[in-house]
Amino acid sequence: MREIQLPPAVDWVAERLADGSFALFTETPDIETKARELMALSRSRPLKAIDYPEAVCLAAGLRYGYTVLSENGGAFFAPHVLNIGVAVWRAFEVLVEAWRRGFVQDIVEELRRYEQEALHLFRRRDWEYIWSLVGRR
Amino acid sequence: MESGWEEVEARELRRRYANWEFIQRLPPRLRAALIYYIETGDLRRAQWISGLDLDHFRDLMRRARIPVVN
Repeated sequence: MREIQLPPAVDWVAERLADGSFALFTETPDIETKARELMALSRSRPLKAIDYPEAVCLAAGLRYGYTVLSENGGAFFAPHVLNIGVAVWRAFEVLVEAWRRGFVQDIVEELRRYEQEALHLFRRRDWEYIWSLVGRR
Repeated sequence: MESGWEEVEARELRRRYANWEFIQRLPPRLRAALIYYIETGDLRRAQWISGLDLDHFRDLMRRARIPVVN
């Protein structure tokens, strides 16, 4: 909440909090300790730096079994590089999962629309993955 | 893990899409922050350089047509 200031994001979050579909998470001392451990660990590995906000999300994901949503490269690669058991999804994984569950009809079109609207480009290997999935259907 | 060529791919996409004319007209601190982001992809440090909060820095990135590449 400290990081969002502008509509429509702030309106969307406030509305979801009001209707009860979102909840605020306050880090506890054990989560904070784990987050700082992960930050320290990331600095000793070939990994983009994990900053405190992402580290808290990873620690909470580990502690409670949550899937972490992040576009941060350090956070995304942390499970592989640090060998920790937490799932991190980017928008790409969210959209692919929505497609798998039938909420999205045309995944290629949806990903392209997202790229244009969010100015958020997916990598060539992500597109190759999608082509391999679509080709199988 | 992100490989070296993937870092290069992401940097090239940020450089290619960026509106350099817009970036060059910005005050020095904002210009430096965007160039740092284009070169490294490190959003939090770029935001810190800019002196803006994250939301306003993301807005500046959009106005400069700098894509996020993950």
